[in-house]
Amino acid sequence: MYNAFFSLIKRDLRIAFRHKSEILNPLFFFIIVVTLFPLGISPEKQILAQIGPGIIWVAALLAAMLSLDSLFRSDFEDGTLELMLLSEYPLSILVLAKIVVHWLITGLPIIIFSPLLGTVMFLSNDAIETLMLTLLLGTPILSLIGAIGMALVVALKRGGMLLSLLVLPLYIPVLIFSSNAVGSSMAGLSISGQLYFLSAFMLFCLTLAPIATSAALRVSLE
Amino acid sequence: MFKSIMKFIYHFASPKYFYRLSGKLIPWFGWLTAILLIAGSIDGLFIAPVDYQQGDSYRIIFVHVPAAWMSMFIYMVMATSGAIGLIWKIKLADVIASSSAPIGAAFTFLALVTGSIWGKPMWGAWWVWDARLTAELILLFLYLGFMALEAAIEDPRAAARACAILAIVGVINIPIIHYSVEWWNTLHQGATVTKFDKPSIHISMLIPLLLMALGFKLYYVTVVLVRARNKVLYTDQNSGWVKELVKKESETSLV
Amino acid sequence: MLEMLQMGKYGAYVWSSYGLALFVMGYVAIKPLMDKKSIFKELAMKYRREAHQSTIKEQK
Repeated sequence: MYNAFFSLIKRDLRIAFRHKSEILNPLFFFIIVVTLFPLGISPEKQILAQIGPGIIWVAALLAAMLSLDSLFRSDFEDGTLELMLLSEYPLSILVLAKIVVHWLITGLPIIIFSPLLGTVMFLSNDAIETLMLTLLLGTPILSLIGAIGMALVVALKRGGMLLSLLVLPLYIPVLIFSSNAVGSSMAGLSISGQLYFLSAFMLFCLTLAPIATSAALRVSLE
Repeated sequence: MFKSIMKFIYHFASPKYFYRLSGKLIPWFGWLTAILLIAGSIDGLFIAPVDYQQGDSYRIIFVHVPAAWMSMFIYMVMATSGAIGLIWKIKLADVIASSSAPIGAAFTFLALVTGSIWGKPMWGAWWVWDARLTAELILLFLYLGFMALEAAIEDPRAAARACAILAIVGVINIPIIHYSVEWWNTLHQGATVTKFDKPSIHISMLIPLLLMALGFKLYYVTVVLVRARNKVLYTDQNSGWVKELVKKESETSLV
Repeated sequence: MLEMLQMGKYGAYVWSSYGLALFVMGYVAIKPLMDKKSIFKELAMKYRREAHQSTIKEQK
């Protein structure tokens, strides 16, 4: 079972590195969206520092959501997904492997580049540290919940808009607690409560989302 | 024992039986709903005393609060019946879930708009990011997502099962969303007077509230039965009993 | 009587809320009743068409 898990991760990573755009496009999207705000609102330091955490997090949310297509789409089209359903291994384990890969190729780059954007938005060093920490806890949640939504719409031809309608409301708790944690650490307040919530929510999603995702895949592929 | 219960349930849930039974129940529920809603409105609008703080504007509560209650309740019903349909493959449960969605969305919409109408004289603004209103808005998004997913999947069986999964995921998330929105709200609370909170509601105000709440609930039961009957009729259109029914109906309407 | 209907200075707010509730709930209740009629009509037509087609087949 572990073998299947890890070999699936390896395979998917290899495929992802072959199509580098799958890794780079969400990242570029993330950076561009954040760049739009100073241009649209104001380059003033005070304003940006105040709205920065929220903007970076909203951009991360959208980038994670728009990249969900890569999670199952190509495997659905070439029939790999159907084989996964028939395999002897529990589907939720295989699904989890795919989610992990999705996080590695979209969540991780965002975390790595977030200090850059934090600096651009005039966040303090503490706040940037918190930003990375919340992204580390929060982006897996985005991949996990997103996988459920993606599994529900994978068989539909035009699922993109629908996916955002299904998934974004469920992202709201992550957005609230993460951007608030960054804001609080900016103000020098304690952020342990927010981090505890995010960790708990992540573990919760980690246990349940693969199960829900595999149930949804079974329905979609029937 | 369990087997016989299941047998009874399957029998009750058979389209033909459901159609006949609900046809008998609907008029009763309908009239009871009408009586309750009229009595509750009259009581709420004219008989209940004026609130010493909010004046007459508090009378909106008799619509707003039951609508908000129903919006949550119907989502729970959708998730539960969706789960039943998923596990025991009872078609009727799927029908109930999908017939409930538009009613729930309508109540959510009603709760939102009446909340904002109440807010205008109280807060001086049509919209305030109050915890309850925000949570209601997110609930509306969840309903819209459910309905959009149902509309997008062509095969009704697959649509029902996909929607059931979505509703279950949603219902698990609702408490988390509520908690986070409430937490967010207490942090950002400005100088606004928040909430409909009435720590001790007087009995003369409680009675119309309960009348309206019960009326709304029965209204939902009635309408969901009517909608479910339509769906059952349509999906069972190739079976004998529907053909007979339609034949009989068209003969009587021709005369 | 008129005073009662005015609801202090809140008449517009209260009455618009109740009016909206009546409108929304009325629509949600009446729509499926109208749907039912059209479903019956549609099905009756469909059955008649089917019956017609089967008699044509028999004649052939």
